Amino acid sequence: MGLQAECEPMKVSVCGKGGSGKSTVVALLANAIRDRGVSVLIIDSDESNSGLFRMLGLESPPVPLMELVGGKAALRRKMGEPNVLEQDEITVEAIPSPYIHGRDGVKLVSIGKVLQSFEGCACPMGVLTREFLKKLRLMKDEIAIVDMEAGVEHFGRGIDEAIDQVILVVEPSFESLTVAEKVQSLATGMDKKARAVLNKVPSDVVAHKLERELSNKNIEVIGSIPNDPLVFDSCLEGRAIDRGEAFNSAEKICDAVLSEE
Amino acid sequence: MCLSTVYMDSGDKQEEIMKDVARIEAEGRGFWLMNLFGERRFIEGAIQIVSLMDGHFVTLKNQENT
Repeated sequence: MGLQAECEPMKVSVCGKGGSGKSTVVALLANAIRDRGVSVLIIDSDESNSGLFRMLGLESPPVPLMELVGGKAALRRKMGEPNVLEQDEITVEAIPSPYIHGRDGVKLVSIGKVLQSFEGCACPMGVLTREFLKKLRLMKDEIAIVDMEAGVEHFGRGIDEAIDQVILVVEPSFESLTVAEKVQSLATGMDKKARAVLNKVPSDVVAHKLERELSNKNIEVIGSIPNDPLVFDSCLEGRAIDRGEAFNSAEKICDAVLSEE
Repeated sequence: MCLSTVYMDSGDKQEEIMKDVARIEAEGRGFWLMNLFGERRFIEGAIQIVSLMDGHFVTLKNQENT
C-alpha cells in the first residue's frame, strides 16, 4: 500500500462492548495507518485491561499520565505541582518520555489503570482523558486513536467531546449489537457519527447478518475483521499480531477512516 | 463523574468557581479548592449544597449573603 498523500490531524475513538476486540482493532488500524506514512498516537483509556502495549510489540507500558497529576493514591498530597497537562495545548513531542512509548511510527500513552481493591472510582481518569483529548494538538500526518473503556459510560463523562470519528467494534453477539445501537444514539447526541467495524467474524454469512442488523439500526459498516487464528494466538501469548487475514482486513478500515471528512 | 463543579451562590445568580474539583479543604472562613490538574484556589463562603449523585456539584454561599 502506498503512502497517504497528506493527512489532516484527526482524533478517532474506538469503543464497543467489553471483549468485542477494541484493542485488537486499535492495534490493527494503527499498523495500517502507520504503513501509509501517518504517525499514530494511541491513547489507552481503558482503566482495566493493561495488555495493549504487548499487542503493539512494546516491551513495557508507558508510565500512566495519572502519575503526572500524582496518581490517584498520591493525589491528596501532590496536587498543586505544575505539569505538562496544565498547558493550553499538548503536542505529541511535548509529552515527557516516560509517559510515551513508541515503535515504528506508533506511539502509546496510557491514562491510568485501576490497580488495587477499594482504591476508589475511575472518575479522575475519565476527566484526565477528556482534558488530554481536548488539549492534544496534532500536526498534519498525525492521528490519535483512543482505546476507550468498555461500554458507554465514556459518553456520559463527555470524554468523546473532542473526538472527530467514532469507531464502534461489533462482535457477533446480540449484546454487542445492543451496545452498538446505544453508542450510535449517544454519539448522535454529541453530533458525532459512529461507524461500525465487525470483529471476530467467522464467515460471510455471519458478516451479512451483522451488516443487515446494523443497517436496520442505521449504522454504517466500514470493515470486517475475520476470526483470524493469528489474532487468537497473539492475544493468548501477549504479543504483537502477526501479519495475516486480520492484518490485511484493516486496510479497508484504514481507507474509510482516512477518507472521512 | 465524581469530580465536582463548585459554584458560588450570590442570591440572584450562581457563578462557576472551578470545574473538576478533586479536593476541598476547610480553612478559616472558606475552603481551598483543588482540581485534578493542580489548580488551587481559596474561596470564602459556607457550603450550602453538596450533590454527590446528580450533576456532582458543590454550592457555596458567601456568609455575608446568608
